[in-house]
Amino acid sequence: MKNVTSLVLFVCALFLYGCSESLGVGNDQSGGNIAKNGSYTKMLVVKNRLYGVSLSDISTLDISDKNNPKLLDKKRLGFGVESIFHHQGLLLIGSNQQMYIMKIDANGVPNLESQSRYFDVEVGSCDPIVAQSTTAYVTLSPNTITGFGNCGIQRNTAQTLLIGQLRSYDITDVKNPILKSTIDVSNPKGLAIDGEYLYVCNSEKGVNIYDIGKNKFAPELLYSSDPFEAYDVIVNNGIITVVGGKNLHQYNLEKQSGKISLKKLSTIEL
Amino acid sequence: MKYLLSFGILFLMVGCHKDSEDLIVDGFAPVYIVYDVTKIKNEKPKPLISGTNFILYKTYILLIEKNEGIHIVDNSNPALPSFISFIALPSVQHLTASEDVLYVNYGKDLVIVDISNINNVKFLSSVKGFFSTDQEVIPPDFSGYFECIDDNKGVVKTWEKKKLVNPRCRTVI
Repeated sequence: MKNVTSLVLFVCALFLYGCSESLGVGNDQSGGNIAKNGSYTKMLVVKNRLYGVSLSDISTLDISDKNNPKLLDKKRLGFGVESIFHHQGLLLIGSNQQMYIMKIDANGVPNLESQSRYFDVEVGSCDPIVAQSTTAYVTLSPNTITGFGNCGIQRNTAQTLLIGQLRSYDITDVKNPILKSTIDVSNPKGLAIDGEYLYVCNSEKGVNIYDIGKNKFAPELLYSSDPFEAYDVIVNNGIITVVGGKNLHQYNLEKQSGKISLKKLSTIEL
Repeated sequence: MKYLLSFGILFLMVGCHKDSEDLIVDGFAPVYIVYDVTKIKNEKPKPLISGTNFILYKTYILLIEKNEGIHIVDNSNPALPSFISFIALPSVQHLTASEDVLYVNYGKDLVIVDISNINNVKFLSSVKGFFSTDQEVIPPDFSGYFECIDDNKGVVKTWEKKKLVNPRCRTVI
């Protein structure tokens, strides 16, 4: 009996050790010391791992020692990988054909849980993913060649979308994401979530804001800005930062008598 | 597709026969640049030409000028952002940051930079080939022959039109 107790203690100690190690030294909960990435990012840091996607793979780097980083893992994905998003221990990876969901294991290495093809046929669309709670939002843009959000090489065999889409997926079961809604958006690009609001860049038409608070699977268009070039957006501390073309704009969200709108704070331009 | 494939094989065979006539075609060739990433440093701010990827880090915006470098913008007052410096880095397209460290690409390599003092950034380390299959492996918006990239010559700064003799690379999709 005593042996069993010591074994249990030993296993517990191992478990605790494992936990403290996987939490790492430089974890990302220490305030504002981790970057907020745009939705088109190809790199991000979670705890002491750096994840980077290339056109067709994902690499994991141990960055515990910044002077001596170590490549831990490299996994092949399909063609046209464009973006990576971290959500509660999951990596959501967008490509021109599908959404990949990978789960980060105790050693910080991602493993594929599922891949959801956007279309039955090859369609030359691509664009990023964001997620909140159990919902992932994806934009699919009709343009593959834009210089920004260019998910790689134009494939002449691919069909082109006539109109872009904003999709929502239920990712409660990461092995089996379920498409819940598809909304037409003319040419959607980068996107960001802030609580009950979903911000979607719509190329030269500016930014759309959707309500995802009432029904997270049915984004409801609340506001469309005046036209301007909008390709990616980051929302942080109530400030909405949008980049597009030669400009970088910053806005506040104004709420007046039940209506929302973007109020410009500044523009950096050429 | 089948046609393209047979054409590719035919083309390869032509390439092997040195005695036969050279294939001379219009195409694109990479223009290389070599940069010593260990000497990465702050320079005077530059005007923004075309912003692409960006991050928010502490009270700063770090904004990539595609293939040229990174603008550092002091954004402590979002109503009055100001360019404070520029970090030249040819071929740069991707960035992120965490815990006083900036991660950027130099061609296919990852470069790790100490930004604890954002006005005096310092090279820490690099990882060769971290981005093993990066985007600009072929000339953008182009279909046809091009000169294959030789990673030993540096990173591709841009592509130029060129008469190519027996090119070994061609876009096939």
